[in-house]
Amino acid sequence: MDEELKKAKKRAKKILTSTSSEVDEITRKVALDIEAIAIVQIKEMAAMLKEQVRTSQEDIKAELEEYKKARMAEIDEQVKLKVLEISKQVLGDAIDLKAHEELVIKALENAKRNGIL
Amino acid sequence: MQNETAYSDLIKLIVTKRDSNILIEELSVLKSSLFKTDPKAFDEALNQSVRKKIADIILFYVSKGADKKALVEYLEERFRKLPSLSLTIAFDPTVQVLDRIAKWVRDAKGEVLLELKIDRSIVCGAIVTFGGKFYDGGYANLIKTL
Repeated sequence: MDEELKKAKKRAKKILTSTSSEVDEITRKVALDIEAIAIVQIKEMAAMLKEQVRTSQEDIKAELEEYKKARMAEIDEQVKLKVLEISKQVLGDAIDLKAHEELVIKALENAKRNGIL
Repeated sequence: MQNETAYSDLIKLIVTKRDSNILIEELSVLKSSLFKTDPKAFDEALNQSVRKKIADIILFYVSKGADKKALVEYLEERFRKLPSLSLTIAFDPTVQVLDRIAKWVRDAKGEVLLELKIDRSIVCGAIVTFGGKFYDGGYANLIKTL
């Protein structure tokens, strides 16, 4: 009877030892899997954030460029209007009939060169 | 032949589209006078409703034997068919200046009427429109396209 009990205890101990090792192994694997998944997710998130920052930077850069262009065009237009206004005041009175005639002929010559006539 | 020669004499005097429209009106009055029973109606219309230079030319060819009706109708048709070139300029031209500009245009394009518009906002130069094509050679446009 004692012998039987001893054998049973021994078997139980063996099973328990084996089970404990398996649990340890499973726990270790699960921990490794979680770590791997976490690393992948962190990397993906980091890449996503990096992409978002890059896109934002590009958007801001494009918006700034657009604004710069619009402002430059606005300034350009204002300068042209001013030049035209001054030209009208200065040239309007300064150009004599002969000069007017020559400039009309020149415009006609240019029109001819451009295939209008 | 006489009709064509009369046209050649008249085209030298008719430079602008406005001139041509007035001439067509004058020719229309002459044409109407031909349907009146009074034999003097044509001469009266010529004296009263047609500018002297034009009347002299028509009278000259009539005195040479040209058929009045055929002559008037021929001239009317020729002037109605003339193409016009629209020219926007910044000043009011004298007759001499206009004649020189018209001469340049006719040397380049043949028999063309000038449709003159004055727009001081272009400052100087000219805007040319002909046959559906457009060229802005005005100073204002030059500044805009700088």
